[in-house]
Amino acid sequence: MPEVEMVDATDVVLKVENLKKFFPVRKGVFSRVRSFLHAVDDVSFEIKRGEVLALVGESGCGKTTTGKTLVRLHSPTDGKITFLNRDVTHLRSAVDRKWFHGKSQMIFQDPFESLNPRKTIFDIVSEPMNIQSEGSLKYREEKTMEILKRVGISPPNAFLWRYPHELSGGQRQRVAIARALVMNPEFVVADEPTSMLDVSIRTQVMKLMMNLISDMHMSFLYITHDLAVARYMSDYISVMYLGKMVEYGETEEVIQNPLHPYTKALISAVPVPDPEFKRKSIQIKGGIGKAIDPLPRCRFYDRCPFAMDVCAKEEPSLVDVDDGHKVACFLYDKKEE
Amino acid sequence: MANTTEGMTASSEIFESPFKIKVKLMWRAFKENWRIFSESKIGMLGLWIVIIFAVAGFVVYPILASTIWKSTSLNAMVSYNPVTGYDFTIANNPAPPSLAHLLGTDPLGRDILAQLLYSTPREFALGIIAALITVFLGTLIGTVSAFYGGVVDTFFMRLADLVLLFPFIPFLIVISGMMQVNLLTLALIIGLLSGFGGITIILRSQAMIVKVKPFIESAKVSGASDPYIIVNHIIPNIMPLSFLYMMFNVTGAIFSEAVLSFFGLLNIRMSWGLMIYTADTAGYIVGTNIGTYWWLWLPPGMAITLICGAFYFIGRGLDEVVNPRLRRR
Repeated sequence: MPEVEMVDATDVVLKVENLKKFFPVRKGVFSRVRSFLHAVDDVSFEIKRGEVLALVGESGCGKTTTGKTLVRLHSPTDGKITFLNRDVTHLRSAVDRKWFHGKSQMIFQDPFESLNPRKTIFDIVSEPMNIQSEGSLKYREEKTMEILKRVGISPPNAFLWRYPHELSGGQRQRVAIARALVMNPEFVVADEPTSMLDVSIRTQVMKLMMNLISDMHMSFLYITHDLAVARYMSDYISVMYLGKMVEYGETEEVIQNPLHPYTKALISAVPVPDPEFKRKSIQIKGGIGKAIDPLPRCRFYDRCPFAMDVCAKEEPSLVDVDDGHKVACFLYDKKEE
Repeated sequence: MANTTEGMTASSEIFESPFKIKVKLMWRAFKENWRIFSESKIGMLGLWIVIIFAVAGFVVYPILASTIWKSTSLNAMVSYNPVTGYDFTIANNPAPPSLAHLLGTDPLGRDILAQLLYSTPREFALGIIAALITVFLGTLIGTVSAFYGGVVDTFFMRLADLVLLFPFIPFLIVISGMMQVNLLTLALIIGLLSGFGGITIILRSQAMIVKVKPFIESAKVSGASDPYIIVNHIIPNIMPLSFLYMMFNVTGAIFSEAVLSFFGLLNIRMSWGLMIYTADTAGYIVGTNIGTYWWLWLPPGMAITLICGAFYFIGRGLDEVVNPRLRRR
């Protein structure tokens, strides 16, 4: 396996090709697996150094599964993940695993659950270094102090020996961020890191993450259900629906000019603080279904206001309609022909 | 360069010794837990009973044995051992409590108080060794089967079901018929048997709760191995519960010992159960004798009841520390 460590600023850090993650669905205790839940179905994207990709979608659409698969909390059913030009789809050797886990990290949604209540802040933040057996104790201590200062826990030595329950929600999430960034990872999955925080703290934490991303040149996969947050944080947006990526493009382009009916509906659902404002809103009916053994048709077919005959027969593929703005919908497929 | 060395010295002052800080933190946590524990009356009652027994067994008995129960102190006729020896100065045995024998003598002329005190440290040792083995096994098997699931889980859980259904005392009786059972082997057998039993199921269910917490995933993302997660994350989180069940297991072990030695099945010098056994086989716990010769069975019986109750009460007190829901607010 070639060792490619030197990479320039625009290099692709993470490349995901046709990623699939299916979960077996068991009915009853002794029955054999007959059907699969297609949590992530054929998702492809790439993240360059210093870029933030927002993964947007309803709950249950496979955002978190995608994120967890990328940091190998789940192993992918199919597809290929390339990380820093190395194939990390199947981390078979211990050396590869150590290398990968030293460079990828995840920030979890719930700061109350993602910190072990029986560990001190020092233990929690220095744990990744501890696991990777990096540096001496002194080095770890200094690194911990430094990163705590950077995430705005100051003075760090006042917090070092406290337990998570002695901290506020915002402080906890800062500690979780510090823990994720202490090893200078190349790639971080942030799974709705602000959704459990108070609105007043949310912006602070988002700003902090923005600063850290630009300072440390990390690649971020930001999972959120909030389009406003995605717009604030990300360079690119990818909209997911029932395990499928339905739209992908630069953030402003997707927000200003949504193409897929689902994205349109999502954006029209964002509240606007102006009582006079009238906009064309798209109403979609029903709720999100379950992607258990889905039929080969557009997953949005049942709810789509523009559903056509062809939508029920085939699955639309993600096509580039306008300079990197990709959409998976037959409405735009036709236009091109 | 100068800057970095300065920073290093500055932080080395703060990190005088992380272990010292850890000890301080543990002390603080202990004080906090002690405060909660001391608020529970039942727990304190149990603790006091245990302390009294411990003092009696570990401090009072050695002192008495080396002074007034000294082999030559009584008329220097024969070497007299109060636990197993016969007191020739008393014509009729069993003799009721007197100044020479505060709790009287048993049918073989042995001092009841001496027997009682002699047995106390051994009962403690038995209970605690058995409970430690139980908890060690239970914690290990519980966490491992919760963490790995699948075949391992199924195997140990069915084994636990089997052990739970197992007739415990009859099994011990059979074992003692097959081999010479002394106190240590008994502690081992009780510890091993109950280690695979109910405690495993309880600790497994607790470990299942801890296993799905995001901080486990967080450790996995950092590349933690399975043993690392089990030792550093799951076990510390179920440790309080393990400790609690350890207290309940001490009770069980002492009780089983008493039952077995009451049937005279143990190869041990003296124990509370054996004292009642002696009285019983000599026919002093039958009919009206039971009231007349009360000093034969009441002291060991009380001791068993009190010590078993005391450890159970401590467990109840600890329960309030472990389960915040039980605390009165």
